[in-house]
Amino acid sequence: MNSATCERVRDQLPDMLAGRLTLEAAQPVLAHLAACAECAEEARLIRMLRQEAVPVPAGLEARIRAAAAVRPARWRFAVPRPALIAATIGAALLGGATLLRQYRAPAPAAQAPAPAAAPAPAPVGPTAAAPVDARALMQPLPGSVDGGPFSSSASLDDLSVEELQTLLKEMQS
Amino acid sequence: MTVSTIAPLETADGDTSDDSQLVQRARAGDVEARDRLIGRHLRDVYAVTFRVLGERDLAEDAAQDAFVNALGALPRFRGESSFRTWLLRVAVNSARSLSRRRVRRREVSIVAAEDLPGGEENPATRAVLLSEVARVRDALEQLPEKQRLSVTLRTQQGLSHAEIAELIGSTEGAVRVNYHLGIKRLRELLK
Ligand SMILES: [Zn+2]
Repeated sequence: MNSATCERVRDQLPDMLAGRLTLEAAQPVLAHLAACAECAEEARLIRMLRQEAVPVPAGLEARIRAAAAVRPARWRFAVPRPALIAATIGAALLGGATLLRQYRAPAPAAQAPAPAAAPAPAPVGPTAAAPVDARALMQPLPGSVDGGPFSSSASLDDLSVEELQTLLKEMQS
Repeated sequence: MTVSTIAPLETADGDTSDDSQLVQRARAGDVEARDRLIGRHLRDVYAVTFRVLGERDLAEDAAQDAFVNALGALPRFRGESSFRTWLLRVAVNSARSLSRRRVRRREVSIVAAEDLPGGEENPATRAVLLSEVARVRDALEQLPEKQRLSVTLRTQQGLSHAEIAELIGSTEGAVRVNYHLGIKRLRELLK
């Protein structure tokens, strides 16, 4: 199958798999996925891509906050050369890359506590306008510790098309 | 696809004050507002610089340049596009300017355990996931930059074709084509 429907569905897959479609908008997409192997295959690829997303390296936020506080622009290149060279040699002598990395993050004390994930509302009753909240779905389902329809580690990214459809049906009933 | 079917993006910190308020405060010298802008946009900025450059150290440098330059230029930000789009465009430019100073590595990318999104504790499952992620990352590396950015910014950052076009200096139609070409190529590479 390759039609206008396929095209529309494929345009919507990234939003649907991120939980950004309303139930109303997600249903025809899911119905199509159940019937079209090509689009289902593309949905699987997008789920793999979502797992590949690069996390922010530890310490980078503190380093950038410190840099933003120090100079308005181009501070990396404004460090006096002798100081930079001395620091680099010192770091190399003392243990190489790890220290160099620390040097580049000058204010570890400023490291903010990781922002707690917003308390995700449990996927309670469906309202037509409520978006399917991926984050909520990725939380352990209340009372499902010993195995509801989806295990406590269930996330949208792990679910097959069939499971997504079942889940949507349950949310609606 | 109508905009109304799409829920607004939530920021990483679940913070509800909007960017324009924070931008105004940061412009007036409010350090807390500036830090909050960094916190809520770092994930997307780093994703952009990493996709252009393909290595972590350079991507970190470019992300830092992007924030320092953008925050330093806040007085000139007119609010014609959203702050996020504007910042991400600065990030693309910072990364491209670092990229011009070196040759892109072409070898197989190394995926370290810390490069994986968290949440998978079982070592065996984690190992499988790691090799899967490495295959995908390697396939992404083989795409031309515009295809790679179109695919990752759409599927991982949730940007629209129009937003991506604004970031990479292209048109909405071209981004859509690049997105679909990129997806098609990835499917072949990952067969
Ligand atoms: Zn189809």
